[in-house]
Amino acid sequence: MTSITKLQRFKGDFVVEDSTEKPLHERTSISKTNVNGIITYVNDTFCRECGYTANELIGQTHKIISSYVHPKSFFEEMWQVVKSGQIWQGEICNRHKNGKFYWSNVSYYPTFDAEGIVNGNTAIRFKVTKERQIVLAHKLKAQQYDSIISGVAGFWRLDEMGRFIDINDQYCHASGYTRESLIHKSISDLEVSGCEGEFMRIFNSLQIERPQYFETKHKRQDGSNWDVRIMLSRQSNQSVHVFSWDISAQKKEEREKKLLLNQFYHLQKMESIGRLTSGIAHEFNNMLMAISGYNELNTYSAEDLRDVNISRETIAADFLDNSNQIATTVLRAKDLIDKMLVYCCRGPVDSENPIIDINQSLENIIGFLRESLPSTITFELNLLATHRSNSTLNIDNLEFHQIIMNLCINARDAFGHKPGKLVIKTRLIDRLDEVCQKCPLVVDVKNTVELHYNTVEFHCNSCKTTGNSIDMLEKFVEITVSDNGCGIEPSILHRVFDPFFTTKSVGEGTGLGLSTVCGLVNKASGHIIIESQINSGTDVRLFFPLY
Amino acid sequence: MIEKNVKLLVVDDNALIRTLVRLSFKRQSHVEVFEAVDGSEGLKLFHEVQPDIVLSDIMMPGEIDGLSLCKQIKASENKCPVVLISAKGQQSDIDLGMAAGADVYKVKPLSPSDLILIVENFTA
Repeated sequence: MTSITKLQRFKGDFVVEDSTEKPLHERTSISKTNVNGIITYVNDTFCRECGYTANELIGQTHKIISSYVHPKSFFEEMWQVVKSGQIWQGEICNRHKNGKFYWSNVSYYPTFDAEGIVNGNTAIRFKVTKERQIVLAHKLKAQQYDSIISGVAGFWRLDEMGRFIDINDQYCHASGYTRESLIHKSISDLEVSGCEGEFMRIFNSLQIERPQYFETKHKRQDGSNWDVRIMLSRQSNQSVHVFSWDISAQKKEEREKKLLLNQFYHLQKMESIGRLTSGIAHEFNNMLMAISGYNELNTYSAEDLRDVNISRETIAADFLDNSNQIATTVLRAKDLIDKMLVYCCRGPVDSENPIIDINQSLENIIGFLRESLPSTITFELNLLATHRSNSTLNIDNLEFHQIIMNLCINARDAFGHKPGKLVIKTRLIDRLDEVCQKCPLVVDVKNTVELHYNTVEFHCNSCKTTGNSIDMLEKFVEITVSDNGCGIEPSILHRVFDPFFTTKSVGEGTGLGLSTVCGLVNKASGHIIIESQINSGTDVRLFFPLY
Repeated sequence: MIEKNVKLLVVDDNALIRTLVRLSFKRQSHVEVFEAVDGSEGLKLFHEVQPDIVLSDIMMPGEIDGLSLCKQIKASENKCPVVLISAKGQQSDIDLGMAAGADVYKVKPLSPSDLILIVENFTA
């Protein structure tokens, strides 16, 4: 590829006169056109070179001999020059009547009317030499390649230092830079903050014939950012070809989808809070009853002041007692509200590296659930030893809360009105702990739904699936939420993760709880298993890779 | 003012309510308040203390809820009055409570004067 820019206006390379050829007047092709581009005169040489007779040509436009190899802009530029009253010179490829292409070195001279206004032009053509014709054909081919690439991708050539040697129109157009302003610049001038050095790291490790792809953000000339996918391909030690695709629209769509999903999860969270309302209301009612009760007791103490038989010390002690109880109750109410607000607040949509301490987070949410679930439910927490420093997960705290809360609400409903026991256990598992050395997900229990979310498959005699197990080398934390409630019918167990699948009556549940759990677990690269026995309870086991 | 010596057993898992009951009777020098946090402790204290009246919540953790406690008290030798106190106020809930043998079914919230009045009624 020699040049990526538009065909430059021809400036040099005049045809060398060959004395062995025909005399000058026989080699000079002349045509005239009027202001509308209609041919009004041609000489014999013109007719001979294009193969048409004068009768065929006059009244037509130059389109009749057009080769259609030059871009529209090429002629527009030319007409611009001629219309302004200046002379245009350049090399044009035309087509003979027999279909063959021929190149001419053309000069367009504007013609003027009596008032000095351009009313047409006279074109004088010389055929170019055969050698020149070959050069021009090559040049044209390169341009055609460029224009093909330009229609598909941005394209740059870089030198061994990663500086621009060439950039095609598409990249220039999309980025707003001119080709001239980019040449000899370094790629780092295009990178936005946060992505610095990424390109050069890949550039430096690039091997011949091993193209690399990556996605990044580039800076436009106006300072705005756009998302690009880059392909680097090393041609030689001296040059690297880079293709770039604008993926802003795709990224925008992804972001919108993510936003929508986040909104959905948020709505589901509101739903689950809604399902806790009666429990929370009950708790607040108790608090209000206590507060108004102590207030009433204080009015009795106030009446006691009139009774001379009661010592002032006793009355003061009563006042203090009641006031302290009110203060304590108000603090508890505030604490419950705080917990609710923590749960309800919309989490950061783009928390890129959310890390939680699993025990801490579990204790927080269970603290809230203890107060908002009926008191007939006994909680048992069995958390992994805190001295195991490695107990952090890569999951958003609020999303983790949502998972646990949905599971606990399901457990509550499984108890009906009967007292029940909710056990939450966490433990670390690595492959050495398990019967199956490769797959921590093997469970040999009837009525089990297993969902494998990793793309990696497992090979294990007892777990039916095959594949490699590299991913399983990492450690997992297992969180089990068990209830001794009514259990799930085996016939519907496989449907429990389906959105809107519910066994509850209208108004009691939307059927989005477990599908949300599923989605959030999936998002955190976790696994989920449900084991259930009718009338004896349900275990939901979650597996998250340790951070 | 309650003039008789009264042993009152309050059974509620919610510490707020137990404390409120205790302090409500603080000025009633003849009333001694015993507290239990759930049904099974309530039953144990009932046998130990032989109270004159029991105030019990219905929804409590553990195997023995207020209804079951009430039934067991009524099945025992000391059939003292049992007052069920619950946040649940639907007729069906009240019916369940009365079916369990409760003497009175009261719906929360209750004020200290309400509590004193209840005890007064049963000990007059």
